[in-house]
Amino acid sequence: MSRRLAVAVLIACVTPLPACLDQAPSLHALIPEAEAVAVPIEGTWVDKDDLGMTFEPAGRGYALELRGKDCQDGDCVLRLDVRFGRIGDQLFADFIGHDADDEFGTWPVHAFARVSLDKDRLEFAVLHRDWVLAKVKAKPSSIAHEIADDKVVLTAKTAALRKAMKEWMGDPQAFGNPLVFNRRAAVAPVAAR
Amino acid sequence: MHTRSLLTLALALASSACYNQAVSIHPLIAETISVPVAGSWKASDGDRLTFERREDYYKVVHRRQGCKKDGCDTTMDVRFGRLAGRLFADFAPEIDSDGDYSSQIGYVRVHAFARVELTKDRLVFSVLDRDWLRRALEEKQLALKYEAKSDEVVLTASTRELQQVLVDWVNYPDAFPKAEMFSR
Repeated sequence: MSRRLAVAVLIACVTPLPACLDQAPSLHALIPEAEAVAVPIEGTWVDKDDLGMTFEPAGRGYALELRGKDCQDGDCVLRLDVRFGRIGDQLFADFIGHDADDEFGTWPVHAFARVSLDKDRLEFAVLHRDWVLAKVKAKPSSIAHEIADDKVVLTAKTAALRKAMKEWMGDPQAFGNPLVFNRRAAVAPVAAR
Repeated sequence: MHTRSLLTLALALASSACYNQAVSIHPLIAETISVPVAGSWKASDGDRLTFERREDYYKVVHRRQGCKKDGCDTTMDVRFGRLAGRLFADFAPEIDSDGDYSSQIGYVRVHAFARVELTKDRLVFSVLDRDWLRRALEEKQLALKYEAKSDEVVLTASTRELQQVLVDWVNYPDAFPKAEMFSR
């Protein structure tokens, strides 16, 4: 098993992060670079299980590091690139593997999540693979896709994805349960305490 | 590139782009045929491949020359099949009880294909070349479903469509340009 997969599995096994939430993978982006927006998300966020997400600005998006509770060094960090953008009034995140081109047997794919971001509270709800699979099985022409290993992979281009998401975002069944994170307070320097 | 094994091509692969295997969402071969490949094979550079039969596929472990511990092995699932009498192999990252590749955020599992020559003591892989495939698709010499990202393509054609075309592609000298040899 590759190190990256091992990291992903390790994190997935101990925390309810998007890696194990059955997100629908897509070959194309939902948020093109030109549509990416800045959001006040920089810093570290943690969920109730101590899964940590650290965002840093990178180009038109953000570099994201996912780190499980007991992860102390770089070998157990999963790195993703994230862009945020709006469809209508709704904020979405578009995730892709940071080093997805560098390993045999994988292809970089996007995963999408509906996002709610307040000052210190962040919620992600991923577009759910089973819901998309049911959708395309009921109506194959609804969006371009492939089904491999009985799992759906979206192959629609960005414009078609955005059009579809406008319809889907009103359906509560389309997205998984929200993951809730809270901003980790910055540690004050000793002199300031 | 000197004498690296296909599996080195395919596995070591800290940089798949460097080794140029074409990739596909769908498998070329869904269920393996039996071939006398079980056991250990050695390349001239010392790399080893060890094949073991599982239910409907072979598990292959690639061990690089100089590798002394388990952490530097790479394991893959391989399926063999004959198309118009020619032997082909379909490689993909292993799926085991520890993890389902396709559920990891940011990545999907893809397949790579190779033409195979197998005799009692000799195993030769020639991988389907990514650059040849990209050029042929972009120049519309091939009519097959694919998606492009930056400078790369991933095949999205079905297994049946892949099987129909792979047989013809062996006639293109640049489609399978490099032969990697192993001995028992």
